[in-house]
Amino acid sequence: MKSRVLHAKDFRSIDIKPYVKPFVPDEEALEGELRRLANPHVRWEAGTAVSSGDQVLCALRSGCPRFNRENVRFVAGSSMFHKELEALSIGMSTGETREIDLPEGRVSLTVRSVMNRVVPELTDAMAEALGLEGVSNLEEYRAYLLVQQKEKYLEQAVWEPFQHLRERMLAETEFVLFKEDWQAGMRQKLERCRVLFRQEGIVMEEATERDFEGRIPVKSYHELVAMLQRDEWDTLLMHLLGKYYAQSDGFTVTEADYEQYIADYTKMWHTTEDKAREVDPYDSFVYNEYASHAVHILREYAKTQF
Amino acid sequence: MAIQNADKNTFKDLIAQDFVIADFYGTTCVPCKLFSKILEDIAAEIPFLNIVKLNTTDNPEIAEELDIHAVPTIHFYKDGQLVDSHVGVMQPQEVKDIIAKYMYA
Repeated sequence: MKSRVLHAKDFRSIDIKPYVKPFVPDEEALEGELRRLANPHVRWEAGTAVSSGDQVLCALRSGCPRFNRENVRFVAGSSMFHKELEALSIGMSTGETREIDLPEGRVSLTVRSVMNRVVPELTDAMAEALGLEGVSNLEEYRAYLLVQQKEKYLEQAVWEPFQHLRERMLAETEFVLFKEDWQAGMRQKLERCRVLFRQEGIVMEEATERDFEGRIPVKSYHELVAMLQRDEWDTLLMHLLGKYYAQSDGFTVTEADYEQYIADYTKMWHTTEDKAREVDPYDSFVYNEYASHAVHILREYAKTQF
Repeated sequence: MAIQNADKNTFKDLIAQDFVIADFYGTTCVPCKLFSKILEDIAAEIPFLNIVKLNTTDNPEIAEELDIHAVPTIHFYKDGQLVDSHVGVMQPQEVKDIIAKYMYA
């Protein structure tokens, strides 16, 4: 490849703050996640009175066959059996009978037995039992969840500042560009699509709108070529940037990386190694990895601005 | 909690009786992890519910046999018969609505 970076814009000099939306913790989600700790420790104890969340075994009597049954088991207040009957059961005791008028007719409910749901208080031991590194108590688990929540938020929120950073970088970096490098990249992408279609028994050049549906967001072969031509321009620039950064940060792509990629691809798409190599030959893998390296550097920098 | 992990050898036996929710998930599927938590919450709320989980990454043969092309896919079985299914994450109430529809039918 003859194309190269002549002078890379320093991405740290690009102001992306206007695109950064600060992280605000979702306390409700955090508390919900903490409460999940108790799930494996919930106990069911025989009781006499029904509260919301308890298991109820009851007998139903009614002219309506659906509500004329012995030994119906449900969880009061779960809405999984019947909202009104579950509500009726709450506050009842074992052996007690109550009646209710439903659209289907009058129903009599007798509580046979009750299992009370006992949710234990959260303890440090529950948090420690998760086996998470650096988590030995509830406070540390809360901090861990907060970090997770922020990371998840960043994965979404970083998109806009990253896009701005990327656009500015590609516009303000000086490249030496050769048309044949862009054409080679384009041909590589087109060949990849051709192989993928062929593996599904479709001739790409003859693919219909329906063939493309759910696979590639275009309606015809001509639209596909236009899309790849457009996208390849940026991919080439990002590839060159990735190569440029690799000179100083030591990033390399090895055959072992490729073999791992092929193994993952084969497993994910339930295909053979040969087919995976046909879709993504080693050279195109390396080419894309350098482009991904530039994406990674810019994204990680954008994350630090939150 | 009645959550059991199935493989190609045990799946059919595990769904053969009563009402069973089968969760087909993938190893690296993020939405699957979200739905897994929803199922764990439901299992903690309704202890007599039968839930079977099957990893389609590790068991592609049965996924192929059951026409599972995306994860998470949720199948609802009553005495071994598929009575309802859904592709993608379901909200807790959506799952409960299907339980209400079939578990007591």
